[in-house]
Amino acid sequence: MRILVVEDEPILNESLKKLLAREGYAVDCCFDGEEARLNFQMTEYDGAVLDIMLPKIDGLTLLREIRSAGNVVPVLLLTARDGIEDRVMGLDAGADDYLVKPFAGEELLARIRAMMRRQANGTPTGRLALADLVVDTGKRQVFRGEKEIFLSSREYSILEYLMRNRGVVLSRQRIEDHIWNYDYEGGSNVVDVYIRKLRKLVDEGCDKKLIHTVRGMGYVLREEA
Amino acid sequence: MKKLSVKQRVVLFTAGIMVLMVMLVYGILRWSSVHQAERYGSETLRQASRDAEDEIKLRDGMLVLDRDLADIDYASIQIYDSTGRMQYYGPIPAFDAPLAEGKPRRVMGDEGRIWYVYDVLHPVSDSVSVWIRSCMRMDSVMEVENHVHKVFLFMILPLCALGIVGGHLITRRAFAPMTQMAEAAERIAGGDDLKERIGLKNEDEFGKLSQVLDDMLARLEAAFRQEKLFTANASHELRTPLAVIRSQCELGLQEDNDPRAAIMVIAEQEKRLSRLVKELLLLSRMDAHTEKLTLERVDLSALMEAAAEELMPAAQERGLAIKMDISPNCILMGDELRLIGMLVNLLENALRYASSVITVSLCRGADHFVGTVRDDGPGIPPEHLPYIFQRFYQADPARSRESGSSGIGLSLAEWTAKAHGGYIEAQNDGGAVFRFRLPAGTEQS
Repeated sequence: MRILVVEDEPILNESLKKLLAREGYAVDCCFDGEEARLNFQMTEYDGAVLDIMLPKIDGLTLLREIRSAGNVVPVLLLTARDGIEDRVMGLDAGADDYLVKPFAGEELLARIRAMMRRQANGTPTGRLALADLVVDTGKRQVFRGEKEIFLSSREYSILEYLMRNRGVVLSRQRIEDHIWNYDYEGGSNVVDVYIRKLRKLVDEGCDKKLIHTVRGMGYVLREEA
Repeated sequence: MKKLSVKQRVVLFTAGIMVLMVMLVYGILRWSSVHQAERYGSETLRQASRDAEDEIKLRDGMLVLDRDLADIDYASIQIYDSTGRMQYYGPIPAFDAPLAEGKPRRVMGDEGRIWYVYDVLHPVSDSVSVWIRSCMRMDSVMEVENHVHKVFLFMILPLCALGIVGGHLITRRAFAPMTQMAEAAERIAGGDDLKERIGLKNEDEFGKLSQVLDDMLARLEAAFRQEKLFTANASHELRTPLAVIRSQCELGLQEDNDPRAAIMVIAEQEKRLSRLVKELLLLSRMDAHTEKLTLERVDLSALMEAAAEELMPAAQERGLAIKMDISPNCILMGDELRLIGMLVNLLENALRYASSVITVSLCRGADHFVGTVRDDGPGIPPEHLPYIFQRFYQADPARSRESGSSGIGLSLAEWTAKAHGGYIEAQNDGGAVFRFRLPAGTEQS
């Protein structure tokens, strides 16, 4: 899952990046509204953490802009201001949630999970299911039938992304875009190798295969082939 | 005082040592000559005194001084009675000194001459004593002493000069290679040409130093050459897609052209540019040591299997087989993404050059794992072998370019192996063999 962090204070920006990366998100960072706008234009994010007070273009203006452009990415607003009016303004501008600084890291993570849950039309508990495959996004656990499947952090991210977009054929490029951030450049076949490993862990020994290859287009998670 | 150069210090040191030695010798000589002179003087005077005693007798209560006293000619004898009245004298000594018993002593006499004097109160009988004074001039001895002094004094200046000149010549000769090296180094540093070498062939320390510096220069030259090549490559790689984008934009903007076709080409080029930029940024992060691994528990065996299997269809298309000999359950702490990248890169390379079969193996050692990817192709030309892990190094530019190889794959593979605390190497053995070793309980290095 790919997240954009927009925060002009360098130390906080760095901490947020580390916090989210440790949770398995692919994180891009920027320090002002203009850079953020470019990022939103170029990449499809799964979530964003946006500070209100930003140089060049402030957070609320940017948020209104991307919402009117049709971007529905879940956005969590960060701010030092705690007045009622500020919250109302933020939520009305299109934010999905609002967190006041200073905040606890755990709370930020939980709110992000909650916000993305709502987006993926999953169940209130964040469990996504397809046939007997269950992905618990809250606990980052995967079950096929009764058995728990243990995945590496990126394997999990890929599976979660496929699950949130179940039924949709995702190109290699799209998968790449959501699993690792800008900095990564490692070559083509890597996604294919990951999918192969996932298949071995998720589909092997089961009658029903869930991960399918669509020639020339990409991969899809669905029941029928 | 301004700090002296090494040469100056050596010269000063040699000159100083020479002067010191001269002074030391002088000192020793002088002490011993004085000592010797005094001994000679004492002995002579004591002997004279004893001889004189023999010639002094008492007869009928009267002092009798034998004529033989005059035979004592090697010293001057004077006899005084106990009241100090002179009773006998040989040659009259030209000095004035009170009678005093004791060791032979020096006395300053007329005209500045030095006398050696020995006084003895000799009891002739129980009631009568006489003073026996024996003395002699120390002139000749003193002359020798003075002469020695003069000689040495004269010597000091010339010796000093000799020391300085000699020291200067010696150091100039000895340090000549160093001056040579300094000049060569200045030339190399000042100019643009790193091809020059210092090239001293001496067998000594300077020769060794010169060789070490020349090796260093060779490495610098290679690094700069690689850098220039890299910059030339990178700028070409960057300019080409930009040129295409520009021309496609112009075409697309023209009235009678279909913009879609142009945009599709532009999209392609964007991908290419994007990839190149990412690679360049990655390289620069690797150089600045800010690129880090994301560590987690990784099943290396599963990785290698998956990578090999994934490339099998491509291999089959070229009529190649992939054989696997992978020891299972090789678990380590590593960066899964980077390791997959490394394996895929090695396999893709093997695919490009193999003639019929590629072999992938993994085995475990005491605290590490060793993996190999080998092909049965022509192998790596020996002249390229030391350089293949260098970034952008293309052993066969034509072949690599058309298959989309970027040139940093192996460089990245090497970085990955090293960052895990291991290494990777290449050899020829019936084809190219890439062998990597990764520690089992890896920590980020």
